[in-house]
Amino acid sequence: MITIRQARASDEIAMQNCNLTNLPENYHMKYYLYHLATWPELSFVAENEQGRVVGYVLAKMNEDMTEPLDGHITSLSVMRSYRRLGIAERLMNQAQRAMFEVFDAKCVSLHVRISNIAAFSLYRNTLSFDIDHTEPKYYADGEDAYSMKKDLTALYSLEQENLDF
Amino acid sequence: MEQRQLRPVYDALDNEDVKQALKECNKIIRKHPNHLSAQALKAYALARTGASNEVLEIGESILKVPRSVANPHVRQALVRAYKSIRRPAEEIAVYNAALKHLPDDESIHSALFLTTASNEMYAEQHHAAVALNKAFKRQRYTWWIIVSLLLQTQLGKGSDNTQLQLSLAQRMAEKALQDHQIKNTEHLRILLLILEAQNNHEAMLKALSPDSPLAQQIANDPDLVTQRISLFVKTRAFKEAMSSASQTLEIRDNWADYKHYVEAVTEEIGQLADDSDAHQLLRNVCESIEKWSQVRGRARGARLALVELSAKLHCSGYGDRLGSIVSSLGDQIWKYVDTFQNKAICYSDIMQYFVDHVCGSSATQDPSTTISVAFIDFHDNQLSQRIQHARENADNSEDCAQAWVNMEKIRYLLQTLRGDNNPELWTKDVDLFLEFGLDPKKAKLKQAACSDMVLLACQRLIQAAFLAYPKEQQQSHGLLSRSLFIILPILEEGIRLNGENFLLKLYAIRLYLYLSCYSRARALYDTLNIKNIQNDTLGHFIVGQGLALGCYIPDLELSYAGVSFYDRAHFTIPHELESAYKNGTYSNIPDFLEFRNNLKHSFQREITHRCALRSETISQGCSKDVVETLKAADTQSIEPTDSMLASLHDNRDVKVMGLLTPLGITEWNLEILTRPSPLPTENWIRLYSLLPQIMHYIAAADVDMVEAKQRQLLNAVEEAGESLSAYDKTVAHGLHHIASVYICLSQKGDSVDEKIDSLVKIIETNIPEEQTFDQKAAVLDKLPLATIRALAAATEVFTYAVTAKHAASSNRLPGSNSFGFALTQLRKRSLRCVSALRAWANKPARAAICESWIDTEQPMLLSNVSKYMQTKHKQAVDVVVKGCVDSWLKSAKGIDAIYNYALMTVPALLFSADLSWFEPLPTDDIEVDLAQVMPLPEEEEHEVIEDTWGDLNKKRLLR
Repeated sequence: MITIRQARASDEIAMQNCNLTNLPENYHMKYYLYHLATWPELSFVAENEQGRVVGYVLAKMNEDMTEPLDGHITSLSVMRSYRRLGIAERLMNQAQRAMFEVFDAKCVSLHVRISNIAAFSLYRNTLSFDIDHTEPKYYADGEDAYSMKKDLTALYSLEQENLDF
Repeated sequence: MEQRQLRPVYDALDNEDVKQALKECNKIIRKHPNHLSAQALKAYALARTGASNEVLEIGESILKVPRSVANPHVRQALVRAYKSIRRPAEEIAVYNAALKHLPDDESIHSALFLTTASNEMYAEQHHAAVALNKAFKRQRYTWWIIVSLLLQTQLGKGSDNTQLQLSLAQRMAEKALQDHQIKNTEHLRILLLILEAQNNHEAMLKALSPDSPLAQQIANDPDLVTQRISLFVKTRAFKEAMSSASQTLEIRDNWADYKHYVEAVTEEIGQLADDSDAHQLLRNVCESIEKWSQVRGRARGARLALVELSAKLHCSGYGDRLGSIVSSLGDQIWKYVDTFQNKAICYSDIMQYFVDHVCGSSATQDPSTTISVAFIDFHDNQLSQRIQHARENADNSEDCAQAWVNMEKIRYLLQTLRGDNNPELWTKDVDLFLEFGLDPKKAKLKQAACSDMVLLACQRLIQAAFLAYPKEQQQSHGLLSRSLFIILPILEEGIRLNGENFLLKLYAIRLYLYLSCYSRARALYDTLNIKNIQNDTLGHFIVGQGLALGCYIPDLELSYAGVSFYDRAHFTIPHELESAYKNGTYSNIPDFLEFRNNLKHSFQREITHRCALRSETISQGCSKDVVETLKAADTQSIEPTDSMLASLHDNRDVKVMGLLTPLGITEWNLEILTRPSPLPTENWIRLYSLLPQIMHYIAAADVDMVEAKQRQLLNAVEEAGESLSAYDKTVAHGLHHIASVYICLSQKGDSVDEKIDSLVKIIETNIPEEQTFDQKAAVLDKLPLATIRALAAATEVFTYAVTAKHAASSNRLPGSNSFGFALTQLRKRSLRCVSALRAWANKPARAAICESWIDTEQPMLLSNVSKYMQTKHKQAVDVVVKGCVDSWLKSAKGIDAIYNYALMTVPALLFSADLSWFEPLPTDDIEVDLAQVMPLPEEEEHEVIEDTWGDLNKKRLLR
């Protein structure tokens, strides 16, 4: 069973192992730590009952100071045997909410390989992202990426949160 | 003016042309001997070459000049130079000197703070923060003080006024909270850490209450919500815990919250004297869980919560009292399995509950001692009602296939819990798994389930092989090798059908290494694309194995990759730590520090480093040059002290192999069973730290220290017992005898010949007779499990012996000629043996495998599997045969090269002067043209070595 919690530096070990087969990308430690040192509120891990990280979302705010502020999903990964359980959706929702709550983000963007049909359909159908444009040769191996966006204002601004937790 | 003068230096440094930068600095200094900026930049350029002593000299002379570091060019260059050579105290001295002249410069104060913070100098960090806050009064600096106080109490070197410091930090943080200066949960998390350090749970709950100014942020932060519930449980406020958990479970599905909820419910029931109250409470809880299970995507969490509830009630002894509301744990487990059997994750969710049920509440490290046969029978009965149906329907859909996989995993677990030690029970039905898992059409449609089935088959077969042919019994060696060989084609075929399955690859790597096949194992390891931190967590699968199998250069290459990772980490983490302070993201700071500490004192880091040192020494072991290299080495830095060994942190991931059984049941733990050699421990590090030290003192002709280290070596080996492999023991004994020979030569003792004979005997014992390889098939009984490793161990000892001989000769010790003569004889014998091994691996090996392992008439446990693979998957069998033969051949060639190339050299990158680590470079690595320093062997006869060295030449190494 899964617990979603904020990512920590020590999770980097597990996050890289999570990428062992899931993603061709295998980021340098610096990249993970940079996210955690700058926007610790935005990155989350999914942990199973044995405390093993089985998925993560690494997110940031766009650094150019142009308005409106928008967030960016850097990386999302869920181990194969933990897919189709809604973990990616939960991780994404948590990151998006934090972007909105903590940084007042108005929208969130991401890139996805055009060949990654499963991820693309998750973003478009389940998480309601729209294609903004296609970025040619975005990935190091020369593959194109869809740049996708989603408006966050409509999503959270009307929500009436019950704060009596 | 100054900037214009310095531009060529900066340009050269930007282009990473250190040589040119030094030239430009010298040019300026010649014209203007007092040009401090040029001197400081020269120090920086020198730092990048690792010339620490020169840097310190220049730095000292600059600091003697009044107001020198008030110049920003001088200050920055000098600080960067000290940073590069890891001298934080000198960095701080530069800032303090600058502050004397520029006391109001906020950037210098701030840089001083960040330097102390990133070098774990907590007391100095606190002072720097106080000075900053006093001078500039900013909210950020208040928090720097608070964090410094917290770190000083948690990580500093024992302070008498810990409580005082924590109270002060608490007061400052609470005031900030009251003054609405805390804007986000980052600050709040620091306050919580301070309160937790004082066990002040009540205050923590107050800080997390809905009245907090940060209530909204807290409500949206899953960690803080969970922390609040757990605090209620800790303070035994179970009603509040239940209420808080149930409110959050209305909107979230976090398992940690379910666990706290169930714990609170169970504790609350224990406090209710009246059964009807307990029944009512439990009814309400079950209704809530049922309600949550109806929400889309939340059924699994809620249903598992019922299993958890039943388990808790069962363990707490309330099972009978409340059985009418929550059914027994066994029933709950099977209800869960029935509902979620088509999910890949079902087994992982439920496994622990099977163990808890069968082994009782006291199930700890050894569940077999408290096993309940009745409960196992119950589960066996439940399983038998379902498994046949699952098998028959597996072809219907991916979900059905997954259901069968889960049932088979449960069968595996129950067999383990029962302690089935009949190998045939483990091989039962494996043919069905193989038919299903290796069917290319099915694998295309149901890839995950098919790979799982292949893995399950292999896990069963490995378990059966180790039960039937225990590795401790020498007579079973041949049959164990053959069994593992039979399993490999299954793994290879599984990998061919699903190249992304890393578990199949990990098992294949383990089995190949078990059979002494390094190069095929390495090829598979390379496909895993292991990099960065995975060098630390997964490197243990292969680092050092090349050394033990004669593949020195590939092993060295991997070790360098590992070493350079640790080196990068040393610079990356402090940089990000500084960012965290600058960004005000304090919550991660303690974690960053812990993470850095875990890497700095990583077990695998020390192992990788010792392996690299050994590979470097062996690779140039027959050269006279190694004596000078060893003599110049500072071996103090690798002194294996008790405190160093005690501080090691084990980041090695031994749980990655997809085990189906609890880790505690070691005799059924496939990760442990398939280890080609014991996982290195502190004793291993002690041994391989003493090795370069002994060789250093031999090279330096310091007989007293050789004797002292030899005694330490003996103690270390004695203490290590069975934690060392046969290979390690051979090296240790060999080294002990080398030291004895050298001491005797130095002291002109009478028993030199006797000592030399003892050493020769140790090496000889590990070199098989060349006639061994005439016996064709019989070679296979020993070769995979013993022969190559023994030969490689003898080779390692031989190279150290040759170095000791060179050292004795250079010191003109009488008797060194007879030592040399004995080694020459030994070399001849070794070469004949290696030549016989090469000849065997080149030709008869393939035929021997076919006769003895594949087409044999001798029945054995896995004969049917062998026949099946031969008939249906011949290609995979061929891949394994080729993989084994090629690997053995490469090992033979690697060993052969060491004996044949007495003068070959590889650059001693680690053996530069300081054996501790590379002197790291702050920016990108500097390329070294190894061809300049490493003459390659002749082309024709040593193609394997040449290929590998060719690759190494292309690499960008640190120095």
